[in-house]
Amino acid sequence: MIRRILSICIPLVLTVALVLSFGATAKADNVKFAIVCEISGGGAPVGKNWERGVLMAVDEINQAGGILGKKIETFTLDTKSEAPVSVAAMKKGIEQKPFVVMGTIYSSSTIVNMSILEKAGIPQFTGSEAPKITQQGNQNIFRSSYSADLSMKKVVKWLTDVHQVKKLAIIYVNNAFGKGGRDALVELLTAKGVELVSDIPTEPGQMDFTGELARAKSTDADTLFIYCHEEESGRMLPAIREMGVDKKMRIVGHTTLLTADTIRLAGKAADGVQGHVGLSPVAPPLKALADKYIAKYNEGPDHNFFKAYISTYVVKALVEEIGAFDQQKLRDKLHNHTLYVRDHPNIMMDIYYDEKGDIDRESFLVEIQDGQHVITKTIPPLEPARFKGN
Amino acid sequence: MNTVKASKVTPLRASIGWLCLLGIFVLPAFSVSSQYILYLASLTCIYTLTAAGLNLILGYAGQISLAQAAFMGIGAYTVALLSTKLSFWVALPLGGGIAFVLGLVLGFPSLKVKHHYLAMITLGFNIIVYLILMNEQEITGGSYGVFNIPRPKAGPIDFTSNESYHILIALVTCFIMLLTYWTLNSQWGRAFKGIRENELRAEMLGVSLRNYKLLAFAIGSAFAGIAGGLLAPLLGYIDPTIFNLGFSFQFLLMVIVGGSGRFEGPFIGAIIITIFPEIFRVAERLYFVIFALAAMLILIFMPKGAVTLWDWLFQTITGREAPKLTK
Amino acid sequence: MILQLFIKGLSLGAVYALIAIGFSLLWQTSRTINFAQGEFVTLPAFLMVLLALVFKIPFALALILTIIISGLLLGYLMNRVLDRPLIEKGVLPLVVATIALGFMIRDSLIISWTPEALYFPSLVPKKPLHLGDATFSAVDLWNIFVATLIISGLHLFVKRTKTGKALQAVSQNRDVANILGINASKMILLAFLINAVIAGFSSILIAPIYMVKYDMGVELGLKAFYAAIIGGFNQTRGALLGGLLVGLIETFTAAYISTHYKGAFVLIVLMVVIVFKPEGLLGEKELYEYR
Repeated sequence: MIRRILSICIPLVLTVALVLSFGATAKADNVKFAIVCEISGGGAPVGKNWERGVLMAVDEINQAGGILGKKIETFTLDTKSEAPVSVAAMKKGIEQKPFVVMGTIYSSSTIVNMSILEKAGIPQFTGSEAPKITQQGNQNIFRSSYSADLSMKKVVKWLTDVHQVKKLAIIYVNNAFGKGGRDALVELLTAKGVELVSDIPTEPGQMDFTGELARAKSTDADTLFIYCHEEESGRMLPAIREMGVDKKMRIVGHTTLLTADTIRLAGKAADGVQGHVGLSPVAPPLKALADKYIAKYNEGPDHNFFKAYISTYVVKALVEEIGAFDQQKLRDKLHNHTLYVRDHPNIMMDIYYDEKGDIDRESFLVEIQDGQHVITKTIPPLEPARFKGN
Repeated sequence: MNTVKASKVTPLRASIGWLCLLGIFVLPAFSVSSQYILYLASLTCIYTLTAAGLNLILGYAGQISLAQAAFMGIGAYTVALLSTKLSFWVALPLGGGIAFVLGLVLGFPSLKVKHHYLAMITLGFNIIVYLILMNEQEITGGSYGVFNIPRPKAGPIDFTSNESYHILIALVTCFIMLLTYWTLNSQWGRAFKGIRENELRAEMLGVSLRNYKLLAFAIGSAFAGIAGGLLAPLLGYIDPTIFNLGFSFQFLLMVIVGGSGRFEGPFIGAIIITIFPEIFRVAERLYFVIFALAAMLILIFMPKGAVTLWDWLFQTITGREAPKLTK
Repeated sequence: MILQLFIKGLSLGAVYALIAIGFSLLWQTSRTINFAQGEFVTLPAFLMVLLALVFKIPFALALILTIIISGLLLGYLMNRVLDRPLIEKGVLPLVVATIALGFMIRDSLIISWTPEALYFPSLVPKKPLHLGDATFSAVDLWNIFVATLIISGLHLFVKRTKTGKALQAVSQNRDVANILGINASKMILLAFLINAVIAGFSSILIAPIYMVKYDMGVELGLKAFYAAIIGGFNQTRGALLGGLLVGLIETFTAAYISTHYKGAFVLIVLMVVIVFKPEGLLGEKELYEYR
C-alpha cells in the first residue's frame, strides 16, 4: 500500500515542481537585464569579468535611483562557452522578457544566438569581435568593443608604420573569433604588401604548442602575431620564451594576448609583449574604475569588465535620452549615434555606434612591463569626424 | 509477495501503447507555451533516436561505440549542405545512408577486436571526423560552421515554425522506433539478443555473427545520422564543436543509465538528461554532478538501468508486471 | 631544430608514459579501462594548488600530503567503492562508471572551485638552456629524469620483489594466481594505489606547463590511452615506448607536416596498430580471456 501511495506521490511532486519553477514572476515596476555569458567552460574568465561589469554598473545605477525611477533586476544564464547551450540559454532568457540582453562574448555563440533575440525584439549588447556578426544586417545587435576588422585596421597601420613589418607569422585559434580576426588581418596586411610566411591554427583549449612554435620559429618572419584566447595565450607565452622564439622575432597581439588573465597565467613570460587593446585598466579614463574593481575583487579587471560596464551605462544613457523603455526606439536611436562623456560620465570614453552596430572610439597601444600595461600611444578613433560634437 | 501477472503484449495493446508514445512525443507542440521547453522536447526526441541507435549496438549486439556524435555530425552536415541544393527529404535519408555505409566500414574492425580496442577505434573515428569538419573549410565551412539551415516544406505543409518542426521530429522518431520494435521482435532481433548473451552458442545455432554485428553497427550509426539530420534545421546552424567526443560519451551514459538492451532504455535516458535538469532547477549547477553520481549508483545497484524504476512503478500502479517489449 | 623538437617531444612523452603505465596496470590486474585517468591527474594538481598556494604549506609537505590524499581517494576509495562491486560484471559497466566519474570530478571542480585555469609554479627554473641551435628548458630535462626514475623504480619493484611478482602473476592470470594462494583483490588494490600515486607525480610534472584546470585531464587521459595501446596494454615497457612515441609523433607532425591535422596522425598510428598488431608494439598476446 505504501508503495502504491509513493508511486502516485512521486510523479505528483515532480509535476508540481515543474509548474512552480515556471510560476516565478518579477516585481512589476522593475526592469530586467539578462546576462547571458560564459560562466563555465573555456570562456570562464571572460564571462566572469563580463558579469561583474554589468552587476557593478547595475548596483551603481540602482543606488542612484535606477533608470527613469525603475530599479534594474538582473539574472544570469550560463552558456558553458558552447554555441548550442547559448541557444538554449537565450530561449530560456527571453521567456523572462528582459529589456536588453548583455552577452554573449564568444563569437561562435553570438553568431548563432543573435537571431533569436532579433526575432524576439530584445536589443543585444555583445562582447564578440568577429566581423561576421555585424555583417548580416541584424539591426538588433550592438558591440561593446571594436569589430576585429576595424581594430585590425589600427593594428596593421601600427605594424607597418612603426615596426616596418615585412614578413609575418600568425598563430590563431581556429574558431569564429580567431579565424575572423586572422582573416581580417591577413587581408589588410597582404594589401599592404606584407608577406604571410606562416599561418598556424590551434585548437581552443590546446595544451601544448611545441610543434606550432617550432614551425613559426623555423620561418624567417620578423613578427609573430598571436590571436588566441586568454588561457591558450597564457600557456603559449612561457613556451615562446623557453624555445627562444622571442629572440628571433617580435611577439605582438591584439587584446586577448594582453589581458590581466593572460598575464596572470604567463607570469614573467608576458613581459615585453606589445599589442593593441581597445580598453586598458591603466588608461586615464578607466583608471579609477579599475581601482574600484581591484578594491572589490582583489584582482585586476580585463577589457570585458569595462565593455559590460560601459554597455550597461549606454543602455541607461539611451533610455534617458528617449525618455521611455522602448526597445524599438532604442534600436533606432543608437544607430549612427555618438554618446559623449560630458553628457554621460559613466560611459568613460566618447563612443560612436554606426549603422550596423559597430563602434568607434579611441584605443591604445600597450606594452607589458612587470606584469602591467604601459600605454605607449593613444590611437584616435578611425573617423574622428564622428566625434565633432565635442 | 504473491506472484505478479505479466502484462501480455497483444497487437491491440501494442498499438495503443504506440499511439500513447506518439502522443507523448507530439504533445509538447500543442500544450507548451514556452519555446524553451518545446526546444527541450525536440532535443529529447533527437537524443532518444541517437541513443536508440547506440542501444542496438551496445544493448543488443554487445559492441561499444564512441562515435555516435560523429555520425550525428555526418547526418547534420549532409542536411545542412544539401537541403538547399537538393531537398531536405532527399538529404535526410541520404545522411542516414552515408552514416550507414560508414558504420559498416567502421564496424569491420569490430569483428576482430573487443572492448578497449573498439572503444579506441570509434573514439578515434569521432576525433578524425571532427578534424575533417573543422579543417575542410571549402566544403564544411570550417570553424565558422554552416548558417541559415532552412526547415523543410512538404507541398502545402510548412515545417518552419518550432511547433510544426517538433511534430516532424516526433513523427520521424516514432516511425523509426516502430521499425526497430518490429525488427527486434522478428527473427532477426532474436539473433541480436543471442549474440549478446552468448556469442559461441549463437554461432553454433547458425547465426552469422559477422553479418549481424556489422548490421547492428551500421543501423545504429544510421539512426545517429538521421538524428543529426533532424538536429541541423532545429538549431538552424551547425559547427564542428557540437559533435565532439564529450557528446558521444553522453550518449553512452544515456543508454547505460536508461537501461541498455531494453527498448524503453534510451527514451528514459534521454529524458533524464534533458528534462530532469529543468524540473530540479534549484540544483541546476549541481545537476551534472548528481547525474554522474546517479549513473555510478545505478551501475552498482541497478545493473539493468533506470528502466528498473519504470518496471517497479508500472507494477505498483497496475499490479501487473511491465510488458516485455522485445523478446 | 630537430634536436629541440626531440627533447620537447621526449619530455611530453615521458609524462604521457607515466600516466599510461598506471592505466595499463589497472587493465592488467582488474580489467578496468579507466576513462577517468586524466582526472586522476587533475585532482592532485588542484590539491597541490590548494595546499601549497592557498594554505601555504611548505612545498615538500604539500607534495607528500597530496600523494597520500590522492592515493586514498583515487586509489583506495575508487577500488573499494567502484571497482569491487563492478569488477565481476564485465568490462563495459566499469568503462561507463569511469566515464561518469570523470564527468563528476570535472564538474565538482567547476562548482566547488573554479572553471578558470590556475597558475602553478615550476619546481625547476624555466630559464632557456642552449645546446647547439636547440633551445629548451630545464623543465624538459627534469620531466624526462623524474619519469625515468619512477618507471625504472616500478620496473624493479615488479621484477625483483615478491609482492611485485605476485602483482605480475595476478595481471597475467587472475584465476591461476588465486589458486597459487595470491590474494588477488589485495593485489588489485595495490595496483590502484600505485596508479594513483604515479598519476599524482605526473600531475606535478605537467601542471607548470599546462596550468591547473578542471579539464586538463581530458587530453592527458586520451594521450595516455593512445600510448598504452600503441605500446602494448600488458607491458610496462610498452607504456613507456608508447608514451614517448605519442609525444614525438605529435611534436614532429605539428612542426613538419600539418598543424590542422595534428591530432589525426597519432590516431592513424593507433588504428594501424590496433588492426595489425592489436597486442601493441611490445605487447604479448593475451591468452587469458576475461568475460
